[in-house]
Amino acid sequence: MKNVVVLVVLVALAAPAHAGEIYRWVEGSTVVYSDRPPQDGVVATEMPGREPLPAVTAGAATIGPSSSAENGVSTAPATVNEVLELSGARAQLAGLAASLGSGYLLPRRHQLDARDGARVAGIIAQHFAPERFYVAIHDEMGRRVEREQLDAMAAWFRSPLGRRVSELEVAASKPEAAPAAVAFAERLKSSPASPARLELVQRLDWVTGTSTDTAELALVIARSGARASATATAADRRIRIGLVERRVEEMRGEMGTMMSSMALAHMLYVYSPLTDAELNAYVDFLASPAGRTYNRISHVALLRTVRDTADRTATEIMRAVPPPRWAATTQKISGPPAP
Amino acid sequence: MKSRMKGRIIAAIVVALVALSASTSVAQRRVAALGDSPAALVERARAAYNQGRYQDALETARRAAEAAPRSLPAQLARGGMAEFMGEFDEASQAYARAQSLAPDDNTTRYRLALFSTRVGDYDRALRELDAILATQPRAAQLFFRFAPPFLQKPLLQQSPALEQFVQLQIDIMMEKGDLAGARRLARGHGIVEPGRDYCTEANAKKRGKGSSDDDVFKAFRLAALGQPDSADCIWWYGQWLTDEGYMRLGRLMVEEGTRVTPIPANKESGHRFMRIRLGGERPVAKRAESLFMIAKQRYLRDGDADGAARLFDEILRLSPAFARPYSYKARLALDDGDREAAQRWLQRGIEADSESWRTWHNLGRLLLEAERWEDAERALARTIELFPDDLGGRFALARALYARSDFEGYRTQIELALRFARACCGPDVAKAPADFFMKFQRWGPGAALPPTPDPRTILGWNQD
Repeated sequence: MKNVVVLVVLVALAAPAHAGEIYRWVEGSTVVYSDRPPQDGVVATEMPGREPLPAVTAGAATIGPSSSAENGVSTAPATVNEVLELSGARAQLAGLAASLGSGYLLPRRHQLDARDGARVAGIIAQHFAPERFYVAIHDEMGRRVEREQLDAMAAWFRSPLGRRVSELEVAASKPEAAPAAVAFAERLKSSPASPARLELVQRLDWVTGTSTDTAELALVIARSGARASATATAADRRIRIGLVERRVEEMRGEMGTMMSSMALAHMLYVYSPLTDAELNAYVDFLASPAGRTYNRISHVALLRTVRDTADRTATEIMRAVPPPRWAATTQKISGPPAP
Repeated sequence: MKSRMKGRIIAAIVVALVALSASTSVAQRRVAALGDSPAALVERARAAYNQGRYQDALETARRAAEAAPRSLPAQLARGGMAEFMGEFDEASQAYARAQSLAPDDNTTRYRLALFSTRVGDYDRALRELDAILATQPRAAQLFFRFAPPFLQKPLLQQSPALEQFVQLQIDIMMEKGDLAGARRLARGHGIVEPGRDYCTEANAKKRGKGSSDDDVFKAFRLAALGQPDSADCIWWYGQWLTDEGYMRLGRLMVEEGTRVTPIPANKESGHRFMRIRLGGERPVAKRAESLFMIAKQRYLRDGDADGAARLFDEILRLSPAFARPYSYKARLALDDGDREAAQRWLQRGIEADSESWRTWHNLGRLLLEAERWEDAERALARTIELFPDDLGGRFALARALYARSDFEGYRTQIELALRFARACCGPDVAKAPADFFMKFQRWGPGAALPPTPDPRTILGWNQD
């Protein structure tokens, strides 16, 4: 499913930027996040976002592990919970949330001193909580997916092949899969995928819009950061908000091309254990009305939530750590381009 | 803005404002020596100009002129900077004061000729140039007026100042509408020679990779002057001028190209260009045209949004039916993040000139960005109805149709666009839409929307 594919790809593309570089430790009663290791004598803990998701409640819907997830093929009426559980979206959102926040909003080394860096990392971790994204997708699906379509989705995800695909996607989204994915992409240079497999993956990208959506999510966050930074700058040096937007938009073409090739390589890796026939069946499901509906709805919900979350996060970051405290590494934005 | 005619005008101002031989460091040493005297302020204005601090240059020149109301250099500095920044009333007063201080000063006359051209007072501009010529020795005057072209040509080659003088005369006459007089002058001074195929040379430069835009522009200008029957080249010259903002000369050239061409379809195209790109029956005041080009520079080159906005407002007061400034007002609104205001400006532009293709194009693309598919489709359909070769407009319309799941409509538009792109500009110009369409053909509708590049393909249809 597109969103799952988007999650798979985004987690993979965002995480390497900072994965392994974020440290967390406790100082007094404060949990400190930093891209630098703690001083001697302090033991860094694991990054947030990798812990199991707690069950949360959104309105009447209780979002917890679905009982049907552990069952065999069920014919019971599907629920949104079940579909999201079986699709692996729930499992992947934890990694996605952490990757999005840290991959695109966390300052680079030397941009901030240790304390400010930790403060920013803390704000990001607080806002980019996986539950937020899960609830948004769940609610949107609950509102907009027809019963027939939900059943059709469930039929796929309950099937043995559907389960297997979900397992592959979840496994590929884990940080420990990153080295294997990188090695796989490297191997592709000397032994490319077969034309038939390449065609399948390209079609997968086509019906899901994965590379476009991945770039879109990254741009949404970049835009939030740039906008908040511009707004927080002193009035006499403030860049017009529209110019910021335009500069970010100009990144789209460049980013789209890069994301597209990286996304294809990653999808080749994720689905490599599947036969062409199996992958074709998966793509057929994604191209079906139910698959397309799932794609569209979950994408809209995810994008809206990421935008909202990134806006809040970036604004709070700028409030907590105003622009003068950031090293001058921001790209200079001069006059507008020629129309 | 590339140089070209405006370039010459700017260059001439700079010549007067800045002693070209003096480097900034020399100027700064002079400033240090002169303290806060009017002369030092003029030097500072000059230095600020050289460093691209134009507002600072203007303010310093004002201080100089106010501190020394009887100083000719100070008044000329103020006039030059005010003119450069589009403060035409202030420039006019400064030049008038300068002329009252030194009625026979040729620098002042030359500057007045340039300024008069900018505001459309061509007779005054030509009178000032004649007055300059009249101050030369009689023999030189006679030689300049009556010597045969083969003698004039080396004279101009040896004297850049003289060549600039003649070129300005020619430009003024062309813009005044006296194309025959301009051509006579160009032939008389050996600037163009009979029998030479300037149009072929210009086209070769346009296609070649080694020529700068300026070279190509100058080549088309020579074709317009030296080959009265070269309809296509005259037309290209007019379209180029139009893109740059020279509405008056652009119109005159397109009219001339349209008149000269024997091909009915080309005549029709020329009429259409005048109607949908040059404002049709809504000629633009010369002063508004000049301010428009300056406002664009203040916005695009200097990032001076407030200064530009004020000038655009003045332009619209002078020529409310001039559609192009509305697009820039919309751009300024977008820079402030106000999409609704941008849309209102574009709609006002369409109210002012309902056949302004570019305004429809910009409105359509703005609505597309806002994902207002139906409204975008309507605006973009109107865009390509006005100008069917608008590649960017057609790509945008295709996207609006696709977004509304009108896949047959998308197919029709994209096929037309790709066919045109291949014919006019080669496959690269539409690579992304072509790739997307190929996938659509193979796999049916996808999740992402089609790309909408807006390539600059045809001279005359690009800016704004």
